[in-house]
Amino acid sequence: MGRAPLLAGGALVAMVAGSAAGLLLVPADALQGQVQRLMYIHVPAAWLAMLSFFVVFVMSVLYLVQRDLRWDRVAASSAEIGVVFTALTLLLGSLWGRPTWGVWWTWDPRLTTTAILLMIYVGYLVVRSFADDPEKRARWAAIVGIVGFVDVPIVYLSVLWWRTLHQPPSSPRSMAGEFVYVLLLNVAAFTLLYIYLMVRRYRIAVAESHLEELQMEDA
Amino acid sequence: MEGAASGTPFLAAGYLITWAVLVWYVWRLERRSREARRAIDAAGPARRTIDASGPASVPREETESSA
Repeated sequence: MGRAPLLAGGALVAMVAGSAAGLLLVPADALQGQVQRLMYIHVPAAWLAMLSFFVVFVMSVLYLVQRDLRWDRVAASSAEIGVVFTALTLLLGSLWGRPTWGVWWTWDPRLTTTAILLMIYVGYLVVRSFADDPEKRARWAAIVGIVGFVDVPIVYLSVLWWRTLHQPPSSPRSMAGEFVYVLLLNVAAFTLLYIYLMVRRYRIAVAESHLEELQMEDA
Repeated sequence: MEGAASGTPFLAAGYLITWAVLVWYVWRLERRSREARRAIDAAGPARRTIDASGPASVPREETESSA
């Protein structure tokens, strides 16, 4: 059996277990009630987005140093996954914000910097579509991937730097032990999911590069 | 507590949307993978490398050592 089916199975089991634990195993929060259970998917989705963009950053640096297109393919794959999960993070945050803050959206520092993050990496993917030459595309994308990463620590620290509606970063010190275990289970499940999605997405990137080479040979 | 009662639909929506996004994205990857394989087959049938596990025309070592 190949790695992908095993990874898919592992990620699926972990995700189902994480969701079940978040919805059924732990008690609801004493103040926020049931809606606080969104934390078990909102925080891991945000973690996955940050992890994705960190990988984009590292791969972009590696590409510029070594000029190896494999690093560019890993960066592009990770950026796409990061965009999906940043959008999901914003959506889940909005669903959590409406019953707790009374609004779907507010120009709060954490929300605003996260929306900017989404736009930066959507821009990264758009930039890739502008260049036909793989080397040029990889170079432009790497620059955006490195410069854009500046927003990631700003997003993380925004709740500490500015007055904000958003709570400080979730940590074992800021919540009860049973909440922490379920949150860590979901973070692990989302991380496994990231690895699975990366394997699938990277294979597509390899295939598309090969197709591009074939088309250039034929042209 | 008002939050406890009023939050349940938002919680349900959050989990449903998350799973829907995951299923949609995996489906999209599967479709894109199939399209890439088909396009490679159409573009270069003579240059095909037999590979049962990865994309049709991509050398095994690159797909297997990837990511």
